[in-house]
Amino acid sequence: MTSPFRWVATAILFLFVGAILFLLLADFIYADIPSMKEAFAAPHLRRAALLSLGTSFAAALLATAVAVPAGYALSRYPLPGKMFFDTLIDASIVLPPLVAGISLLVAFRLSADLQTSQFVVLRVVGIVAAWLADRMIYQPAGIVLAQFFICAGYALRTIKAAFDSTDPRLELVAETLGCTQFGAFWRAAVPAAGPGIAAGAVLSWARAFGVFGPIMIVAGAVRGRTEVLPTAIYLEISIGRLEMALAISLFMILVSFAVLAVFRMFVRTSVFGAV
Amino acid sequence: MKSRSPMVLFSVRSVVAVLLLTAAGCRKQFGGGASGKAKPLLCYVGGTMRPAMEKIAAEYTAETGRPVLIDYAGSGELLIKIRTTRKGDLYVCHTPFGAAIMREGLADRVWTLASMGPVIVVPKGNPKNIRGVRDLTRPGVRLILTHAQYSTTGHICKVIFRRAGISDTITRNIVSRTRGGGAAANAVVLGTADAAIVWSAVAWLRRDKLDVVPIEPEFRPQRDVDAVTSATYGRIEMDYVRVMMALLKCSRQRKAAEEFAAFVLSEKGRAVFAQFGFSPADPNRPAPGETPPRPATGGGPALLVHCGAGLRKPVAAILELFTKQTGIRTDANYSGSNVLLSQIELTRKGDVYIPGDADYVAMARKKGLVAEDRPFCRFEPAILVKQGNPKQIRGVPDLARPGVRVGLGDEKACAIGRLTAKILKRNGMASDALKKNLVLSTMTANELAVAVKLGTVDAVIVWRAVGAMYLDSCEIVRIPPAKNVIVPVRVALLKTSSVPDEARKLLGFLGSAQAADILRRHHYQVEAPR
Repeated sequence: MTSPFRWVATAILFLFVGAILFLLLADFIYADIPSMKEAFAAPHLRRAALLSLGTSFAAALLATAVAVPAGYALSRYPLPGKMFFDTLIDASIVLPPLVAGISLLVAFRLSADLQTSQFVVLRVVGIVAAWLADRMIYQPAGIVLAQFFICAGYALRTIKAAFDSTDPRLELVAETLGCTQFGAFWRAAVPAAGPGIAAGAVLSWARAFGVFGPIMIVAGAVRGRTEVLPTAIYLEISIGRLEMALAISLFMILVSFAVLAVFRMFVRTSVFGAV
Repeated sequence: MKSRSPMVLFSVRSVVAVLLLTAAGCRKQFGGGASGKAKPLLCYVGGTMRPAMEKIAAEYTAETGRPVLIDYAGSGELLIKIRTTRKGDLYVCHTPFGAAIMREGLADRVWTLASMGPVIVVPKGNPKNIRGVRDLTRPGVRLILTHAQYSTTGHICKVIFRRAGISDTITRNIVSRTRGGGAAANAVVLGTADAAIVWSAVAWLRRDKLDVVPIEPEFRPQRDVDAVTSATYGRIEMDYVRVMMALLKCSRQRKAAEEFAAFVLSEKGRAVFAQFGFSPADPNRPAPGETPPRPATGGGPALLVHCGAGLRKPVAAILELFTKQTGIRTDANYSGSNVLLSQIELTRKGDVYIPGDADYVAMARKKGLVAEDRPFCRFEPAILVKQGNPKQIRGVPDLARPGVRVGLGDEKACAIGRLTAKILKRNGMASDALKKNLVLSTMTANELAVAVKLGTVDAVIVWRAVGAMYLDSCEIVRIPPAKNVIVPVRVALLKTSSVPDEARKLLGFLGSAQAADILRRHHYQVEAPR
């Protein structure tokens, strides 16, 4: 029970948690109480907080909705070029977020330019792209789009791993008991991979909540309209109000802590496995 | 049991998320429809201008009820956004980006809102006792600067260090370079550096934590001397960094955008910029292609006058008097005569054309653009020397005397350079007679006068009207008419004019005795030499 390894491992854990706490404490001391009061009182920050929560939940939901079937397909079916897909998904995680934002804009531009094409099909694509661009660029929906592209890779990676770790025979048994393929997926594979799927969803939410670069590019940094909490932090740093920026950061940490804690109680499983 | 919880979770989450999405959608509609029919203007604001522009936008909305959205990022990032989205109405940036957006063809009008200059910032109380630029080389001073190539302050710092003679010694103290001035100033706030060189407006935003040490005037970039020319941005003047606003071509509300621009340029807007630590714009240094925004109200159409940049000062004064006396408003577009000619050709817009040389009127006539024309004034070349004329220059032949350092305009680049060979011929000199004494060849007339002022040359041949701007330190030696080549300037009434009667009135006024008075006051020659 009291092997030295146990002490070493626990000490490393405490050191790491201690480092996080120390950073938070430093932020807390630097941010000072008046700035925190100001941060809570500012109406545009309250809106930014609501928008942050709304968009990040929507993006995580979308990401999970895509990642569950896609991860299942990637895990179960013998697809041609599977390794290529797998690597590409990993690469999308490496892509600097700012580049993801610019790529979205460039893609919108190129497809919207198709409106003048001589081919009807391309013209339709162009019209649809322009219609979408009007609803996405510099609009709150654009925030969800940017967050989705950043967090979907995380969700897919985690959820695919969850399906990998469950036994495919479970679905075969379900099918022999009269389930359709979808039934086997929905009633056998998904529940079995449940904690992993939940982990993917939470991870993608956390990523979406904190993302900033592509949001600034796609949705803009318009105060009171497309301003989310990370945008607010950036805007404050750009004019040197560091304590205000830190106050907002602390608020973000508080919110994520609360969300993750509620989630744990709700699922009664730890995000990364049983408690 | 355990296997069901994720499913429950899923459905609960879906409901929550859909609710939140709807809420976000509602908010969006709210934002768009809050102030009736008026669609908000989208104004991109880069650099340090955001707090000032937010304040101006709020005042504008309070006054007119029209909302203005401010989108903020680095000026370069905003440029990318404008290029790819083709959305938005206005773009506020500082110097090189205003020129860049015009060159890219994304904007067609620019206005100078304010200007700014670099300062040294140090932590409150100035613990390292930095008193000037040279103190930054002291051992142990950790200096943080902006990027040498990618930022305007970076370019300017190079000039400052060169002028202070510390280009080499300063490098050991530079601990880091940031992309923008804000991050450099933040580093000083956090104590990771002892000093930074940033815009005064950047320092102002952090005034409760930083002290400002001014940069000595003799080390600051000098007008017409310290400029860089880049392929992307054109010519960047480093002594005068402009805060500019550009009207984007993609704007679908040009009239509303122009009205907002007029508000930003009004006394109210200027006061806000001053309050945020910016210097005022110099009305005598408009950006290339800059014309005042059309006022929101006012009777009748305004005459559009295309005027050569070299004639700006007297023409602006004459136009003001004209409007005062006749009530006919004018908008003046100042640029190079050649640039103006192609603008008229392309846009087919404009009423009166005043180029710096009658040759351009002849060219415009050939292209079928001129309805009528008349003489306006004459450009007279003269010799400019240091005050007191220490080298005793009395005429053009004296420039060839041994030991006289001469500056001339480049033959291919500017009109005065083109004329020099002709003037030498009139004086019975060979075209290469000054070759031995030539120490400076410039692209513009202004640079020649500045060289005399700074004492890097003894004499130059330059327009008398340009030399007259430097009479505080220089002296003009006129060339006798028989030995000079005087360039006539003519004004033209354009066929593109939609209000030819008003334009003809202006043409008459330009030839009046009142206009001649103003021209003479600005040292332009009016009557023809005998």
